[in-house]
Amino acid sequence: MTLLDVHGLTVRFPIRGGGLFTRDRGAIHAVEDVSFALDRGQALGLVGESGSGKSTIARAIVGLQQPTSGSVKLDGTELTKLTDDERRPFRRRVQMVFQDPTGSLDPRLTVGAIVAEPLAIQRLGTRRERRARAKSLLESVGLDAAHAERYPHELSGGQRQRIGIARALALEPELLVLDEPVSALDVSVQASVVNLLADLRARLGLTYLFIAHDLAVVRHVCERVAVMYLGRIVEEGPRDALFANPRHPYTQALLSAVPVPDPVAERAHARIVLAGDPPSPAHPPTGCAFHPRCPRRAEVPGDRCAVELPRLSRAPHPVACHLVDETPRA
Amino acid sequence: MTGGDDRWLQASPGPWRRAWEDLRANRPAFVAFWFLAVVAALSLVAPLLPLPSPIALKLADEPLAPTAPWNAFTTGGFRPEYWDLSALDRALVALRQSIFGDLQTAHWLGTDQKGRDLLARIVWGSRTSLAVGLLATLASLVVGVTWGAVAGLAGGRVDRVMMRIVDALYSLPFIFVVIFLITVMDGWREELQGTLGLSRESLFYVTIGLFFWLTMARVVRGQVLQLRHAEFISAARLAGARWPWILRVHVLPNVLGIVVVYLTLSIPSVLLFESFLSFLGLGIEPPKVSWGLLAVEGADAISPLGLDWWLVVAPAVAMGSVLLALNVLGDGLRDALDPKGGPA
Amino acid sequence: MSSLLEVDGLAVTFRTRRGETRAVDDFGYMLDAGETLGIVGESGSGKSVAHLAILGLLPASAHVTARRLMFDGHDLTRLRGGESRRLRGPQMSMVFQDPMSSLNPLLTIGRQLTEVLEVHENATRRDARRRAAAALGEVGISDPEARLDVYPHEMSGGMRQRVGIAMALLCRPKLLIADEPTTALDVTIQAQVLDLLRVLQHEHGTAIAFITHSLGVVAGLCERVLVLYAGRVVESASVDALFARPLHPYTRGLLASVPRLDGDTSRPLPAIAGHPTSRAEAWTACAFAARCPLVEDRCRRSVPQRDEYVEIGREGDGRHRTACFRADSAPCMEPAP
Repeated sequence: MTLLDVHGLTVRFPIRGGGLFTRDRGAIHAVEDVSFALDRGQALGLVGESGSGKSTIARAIVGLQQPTSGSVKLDGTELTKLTDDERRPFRRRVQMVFQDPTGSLDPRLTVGAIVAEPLAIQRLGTRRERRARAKSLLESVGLDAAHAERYPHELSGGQRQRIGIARALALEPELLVLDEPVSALDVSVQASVVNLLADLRARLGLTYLFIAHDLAVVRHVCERVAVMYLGRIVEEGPRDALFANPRHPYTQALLSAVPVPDPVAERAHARIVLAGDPPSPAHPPTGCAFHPRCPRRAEVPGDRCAVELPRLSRAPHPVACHLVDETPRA
Repeated sequence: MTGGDDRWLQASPGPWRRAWEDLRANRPAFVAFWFLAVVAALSLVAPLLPLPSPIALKLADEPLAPTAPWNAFTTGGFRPEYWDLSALDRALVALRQSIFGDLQTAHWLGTDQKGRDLLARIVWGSRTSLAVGLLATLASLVVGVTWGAVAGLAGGRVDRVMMRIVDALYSLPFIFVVIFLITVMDGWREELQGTLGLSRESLFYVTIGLFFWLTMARVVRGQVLQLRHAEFISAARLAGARWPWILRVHVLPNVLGIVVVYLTLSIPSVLLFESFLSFLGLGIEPPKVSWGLLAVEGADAISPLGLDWWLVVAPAVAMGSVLLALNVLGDGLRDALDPKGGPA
Repeated sequence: MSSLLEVDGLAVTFRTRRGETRAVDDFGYMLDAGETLGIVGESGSGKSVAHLAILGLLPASAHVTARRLMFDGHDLTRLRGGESRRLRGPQMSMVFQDPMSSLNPLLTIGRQLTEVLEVHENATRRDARRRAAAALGEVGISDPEARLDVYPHEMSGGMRQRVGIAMALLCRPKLLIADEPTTALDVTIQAQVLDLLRVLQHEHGTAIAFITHSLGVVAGLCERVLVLYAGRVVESASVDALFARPLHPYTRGLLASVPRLDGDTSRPLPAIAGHPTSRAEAWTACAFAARCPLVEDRCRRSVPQRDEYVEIGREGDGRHRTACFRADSAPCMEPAP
């Protein structure tokens, strides 16, 4: 049953001009018309590169960013229209794990205080109960309860990220939005945190919205993947199908670009190298945003790619590309 | 469990403790700290010390240069003359009399033109000057930190309006305004004294405080603006925290460092300003003593007829050393409170 | 034939207010002209510090010693001032990780490029501009003439990194040290930049020392690989040998724990316990002992030396070395005679 329902989500940041009077000079189209649904207990991976808008989506869903338009429904309730006070009970149901393990922890607070803070804010339990809960949370993420008296700077990056995860779990949320949770960690530590996340999900029955740029990591945690390019979803589908048979040229390029830790395979690999630079969200290209860099553009007759925005087709899984377009030209 | 963790479980100082250790390691700053502590202690217990009265006049005599031996005491002739002291101070003087009786230091730093003991004047003067320094900066702290934190957190229109006010006040020629205010208030002195119980001195404290908060507000706002985007603040908001919580739990502890540094470094400005105003006759009034007034008298001591050097040198050394110590301490604090990455 | 770069026994110690840290110990390798060497390590491994030491770019608080530090026949430890500058700029060059901080935000990129030429080759401004535009074109930047007058913040990360590469290759150095040049870039841009490096290397015959934490990048770009842990080299081999027959438990752990697109998702990733360290205590024992699945008592008591290993039944060429007491437990490998 659907826990999170996002429909037509659009986030635009106005660019203010200079001068004595601030003026709106266009906008950054961070997220454009994004829709997806998450069932309870599922994990959806949102992948994309910088400028794809995936982090903005994360912030919009948890309420740190007001969307320009569109709807975000949690269990049927529309979240975007809530006031701060109305949103408070929903804080307990949706939480976020941040990317930077150092910046997401207040250096002046002890680890225990950090993990217990959400409980204190929501005024749950007595001080003693909160401390006990903080310690048990630390243990559930693989840390020593004794760490509760330490300060963040005394611990390693991987441990700090576990603290962030423990904090996110304090209020017992149903939906966890993870914004690049392992990108800032050392390679040898990523695996253990990835394992932890997969394990927690199974144990606590959590639902994940997992945002990352590392496709291999997403593959280990999520069973569905959506690929984003310049604020739009260009392809979405079950993990195995998408990785085995990517249909959008961007997804194909993305998968091809991932370096494989095997020299023989690397030498044999015919890598798709995209030309040009990623487009700027402030000046999105007309039509399909990917067309300036698309290596298969020539396969579409005329200049349809430059003019017409492809719509997400349905079967076998949604792809937004004229190459696989089923809608005949009018 | 995570192996190799034992190394991390060593003694764990908190951020404040760590700052203290860093300060200790910084020799000059540490020395400055203790120096200031001693000076502050001495000025606090000034009434208790076996000093002559700072205002007992002996008009007939010539100013006495300081002469060896430097530790001579005299007995007899102690005149407990002071200005209007508080009850506590009066009690302390009484205590002094019962302990030391007539014993007093024998003009270790000489006397001035009116026969008043210079050492006593310096020690008693430190009370006034340091009080001005502390109170004025504390006033600026309260107003400035609140103003800056609110502006930084609120953002948008509120922030712009608040900082425009600061900019406007900044553009006023501070010195002239203070002089103007004090002169005007002098004209209303009786009324103010009577109805509001405000002395010239408290007016003085207030006006200084009202101007020194401006830079504090800017400094705090800058810091808060940076903090606003810190992810741990987003995390707190995500848990449902409202701005008062964020201010109290996250923002203030993180700006405290820079506030303390700024405080330490602005006290010298206040002291110098007090001296300047006293120099102009708009600051502390006799019979009360302050280092500013001592500077004035020191200037008078320089004449074509002769130079009573000790009247210039002694107050200058006293004030200069305190200002130097404050600056050194401020620098040391800034280094010590700088958030550093932890080990490895 | 002697190598282009010979480093042996390099050690770097930092003296700070809080004590001494040995960031790099007994570091060394040999790099031939035109060869690409991958240096793999995580935080605390000392990979960047070691190379900054080679280039003489460390602050005064760093104490650098080396048994041997030779570049192109010159002894780098004996060079002073001007001589050092003549060598370390034009002949040995570096590309950094963060393209934003390695370019001066206040100067146009044209100015930064021409500056390099004017300083090192006494070029005239006109000449330098021409060559700068050519260099930008070489790294695949469109409309290079116009871009000379652009500021770094007006360019994207990928473009800035390409400018960084152009700047590093301007004087046609014999050695290019690339310190995580693609770590901060998107994966598709990374593919472009790596492709560019391959092409340029092929054209100019530059030797590249490529520092990274990514085993995948190393597999595709490098001929030989060095693995660093806590400031020491724990394994060195040809790229094929390292991936096919990794000897050091750290290397093996790393290879096993990296998520792969073709990996088995039904089981948890085999992870290495603990976290990377750079503590000074590491020097009296094997630094990896606390995390090693094969740890023994002797690992905690002394530091293993780098020994050569060969495939069973084959001859050695001095090329596969590892510092591990348990290396003889690896399948297919035995210590070299």
